[in-house]
Amino acid sequence: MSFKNDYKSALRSASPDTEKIIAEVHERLYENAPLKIRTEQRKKRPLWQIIAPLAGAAACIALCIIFIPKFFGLPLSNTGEMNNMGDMNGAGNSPEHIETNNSDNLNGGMDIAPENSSHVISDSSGSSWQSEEFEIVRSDDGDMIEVVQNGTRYFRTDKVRAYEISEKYDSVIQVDGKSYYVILEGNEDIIYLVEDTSAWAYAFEKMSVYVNGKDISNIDIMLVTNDAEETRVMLGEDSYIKTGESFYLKTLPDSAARFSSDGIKYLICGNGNRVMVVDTDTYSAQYYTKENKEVLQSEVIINESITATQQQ
Amino acid sequence: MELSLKTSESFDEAMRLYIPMVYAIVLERLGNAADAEDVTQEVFIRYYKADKTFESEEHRRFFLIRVAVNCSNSFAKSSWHRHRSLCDPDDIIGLLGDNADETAEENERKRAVLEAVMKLPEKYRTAVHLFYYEDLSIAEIAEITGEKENTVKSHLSRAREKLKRLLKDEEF
Repeated sequence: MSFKNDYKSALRSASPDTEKIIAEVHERLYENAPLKIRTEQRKKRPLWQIIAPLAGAAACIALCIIFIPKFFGLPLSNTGEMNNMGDMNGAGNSPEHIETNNSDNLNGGMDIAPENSSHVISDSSGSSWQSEEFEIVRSDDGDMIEVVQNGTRYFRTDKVRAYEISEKYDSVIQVDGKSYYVILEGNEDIIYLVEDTSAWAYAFEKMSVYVNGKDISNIDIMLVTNDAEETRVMLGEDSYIKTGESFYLKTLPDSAARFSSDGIKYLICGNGNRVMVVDTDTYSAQYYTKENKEVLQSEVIINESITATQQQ
Repeated sequence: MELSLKTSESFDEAMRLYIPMVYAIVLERLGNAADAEDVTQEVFIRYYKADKTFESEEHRRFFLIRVAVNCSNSFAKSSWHRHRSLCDPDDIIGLLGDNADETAEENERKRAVLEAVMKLPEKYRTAVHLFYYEDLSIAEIAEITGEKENTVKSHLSRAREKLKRLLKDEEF
């Protein structure tokens, strides 16, 4: 079942009344007739949509008439009182745990999720994650895709594991009213992040021009295209297949190799078995993961390889 | 019959040939059949008034696609359009008649495809339509819409991701 065929076939079924349109064009051109507004075919606005704004405006005017004289006629009192402002909860040592709620927080249509600076509200390790600025970048589907800690970027890997309620964490950061529990691994090259409402810990790796231990800034990089869409990226002989996760970055990563393909400039960075390719014009980014070489043999490689040049 | 490449000549024949194409572009963008008919009229009035002689049939087709996209965009930004309910997929899907030569399953699939496309954000729909229905290249779409090729590419790519989620059985 091809989308293209089905789409063409579907739209052809919705054909217009050509002769009627021609007749109306003639009327307008040769008889200077105005455009006919086919109100009967158009969706009429419901009555309440017409009445509601008028009623609202009338109510506002009435309230103004009643209250403005009273307001100016009475002394001001009780102004500026603020009750319990600034109370913040959630700084406890143990995260609240909601079972198996795995992040269905869709943001609906935002190209770039807001990046928020934050602060650490608790720390148990004395690591460099204490008192740093954070940003959490999300895709338009609401998935966390990047963590930026004081300029150092960590991008999400495909690793995810269950988070135990009793498990120790190294820091808690708070972003946009939500708490995130940070678990450091190794030499802080990998961190796990747990949203306060999630039972899952997502792994993020520090961005680097080293992928699987190789410095990719001096090897051949090429995008493999199929049907006008990039499907994989080659780093030397290693092939990485597109995961389908695409998103937009607000700023470009520093630790990245540069290459160009078909006149378009890209950045590539990664670590382990996952890389991110960023279009430097549109800042659109795609994830690619390492794949088996056997699969590659059947693919057609269209683009020429282009040598990457190191950015830094 | 070969059409004259001058806009004022073979006008009716040119309309007969291109009204379905223009109407489909506008309908996809605006999501309303009555609006699509009005804007289609507007496109051909502009075509007539342009008083041009085209270099080729392909040149004429490109001109009409570009005017259709521009007129749709202008109409979509008009206060009349913005103050009405936004695109309702049912408006278009209601236009589809079941094809007696096709199975109920095929007709249902076509409806699902159209419904999925109409659920896309407006900025993606034009790119999808021109790429899949008019078979235009990314460079041609960029030229018509006045966007950068990369932008068109990313619109198409993001639209495909969304469509793949909605239409699991379709191949892209």
